[in-house]
Amino acid sequence: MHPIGPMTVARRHKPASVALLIAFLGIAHSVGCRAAQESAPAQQAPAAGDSSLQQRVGWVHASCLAIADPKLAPDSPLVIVSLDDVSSVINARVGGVTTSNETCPALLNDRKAANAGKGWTFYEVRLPPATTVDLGIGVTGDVTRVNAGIDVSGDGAADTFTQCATSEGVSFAVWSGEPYQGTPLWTAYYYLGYDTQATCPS
Amino acid sequence: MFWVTWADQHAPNSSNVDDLAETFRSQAKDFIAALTRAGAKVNVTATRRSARRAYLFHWSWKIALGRCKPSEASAMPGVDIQWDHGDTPASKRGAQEMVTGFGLAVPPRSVNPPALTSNHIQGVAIDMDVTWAGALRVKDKQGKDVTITFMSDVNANKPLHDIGATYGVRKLVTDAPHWSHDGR
Repeated sequence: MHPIGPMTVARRHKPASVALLIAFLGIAHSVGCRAAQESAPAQQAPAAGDSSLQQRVGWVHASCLAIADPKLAPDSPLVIVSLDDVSSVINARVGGVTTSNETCPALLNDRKAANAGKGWTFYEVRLPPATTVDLGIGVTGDVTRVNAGIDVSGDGAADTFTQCATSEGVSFAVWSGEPYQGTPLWTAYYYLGYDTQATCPS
Repeated sequence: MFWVTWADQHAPNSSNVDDLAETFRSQAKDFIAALTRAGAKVNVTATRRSARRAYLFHWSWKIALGRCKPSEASAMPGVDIQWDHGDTPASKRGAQEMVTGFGLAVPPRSVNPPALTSNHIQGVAIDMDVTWAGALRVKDKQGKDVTITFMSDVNANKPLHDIGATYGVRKLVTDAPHWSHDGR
């Protein structure tokens, strides 16, 4: 019988022991996924809408950003809204473009074919020391902070960032108002390649 | 990580249509043939998923997140894994290594682990990208020509879904690549 160790693989997630630049936002965790009136569209490619927004917003899994901008300069600033148990806004940096599945879980064998070639470019993310992100949404360029939140729509109010599980993926979205009502400002679908119970509102 | 490597070697998922269960296999083949004959490009990314792989995903996720005791993990023939090290923190660390190695997403406060069974595991689901330019004239199962227009959001392309349904291949509209025998 083989034990579940040994710990020979470099872990992507360092212990989260330091609270960072954390601002507790009106970030809506999608899980359980709140009472909602409409389902969130889950799309395979960067969604339609404000084209500049489509290029400025991307999704994050671990140390990897998927974004519809193939020309991000290395060391560009990146603000990540972490959608983990402790919601936080993290100041990170964009590393280089990567095709490594060590860096990008989205490029693991089970899911690469469904995530690559969909208009996303994958970048390594440089997080502050002792910081981890499991799932999050990243925003590049000038990011307007409103109180403890982020305004990507430019209406002066903090927007809401969500993720929820589909049957075999994750649906990310940014909302100008109440989450899961109306049309999101931005939405994206991350194919996981395994089955789970959907939590997105239906 | 031993079990990640083991799963890749001994419990891989398939993207081969021939690995699907009958009758869904024939239905999927007929649908794909109709699409390709009409000029669409069909890229199949997943068909039958390994039950043993799903087992490793499920229990590593539950143990790592403390959703169950390591001793509560069930056994599975052909997977000789020791979940319980007799030391819960050590068991959880080992399970977390697997979660990381498998790239499992851990949604916040989630109580839903990777599933032990599914349409993919039963061989009655297929993930595929279907692309074409402009309009496409496709025959449905009854031989009727139907013209469908490409949409970048396949989940919104109901005419395409309707053609698939005539073949017994039904779209799940929350997951772009996913089609199955019952639309789940």
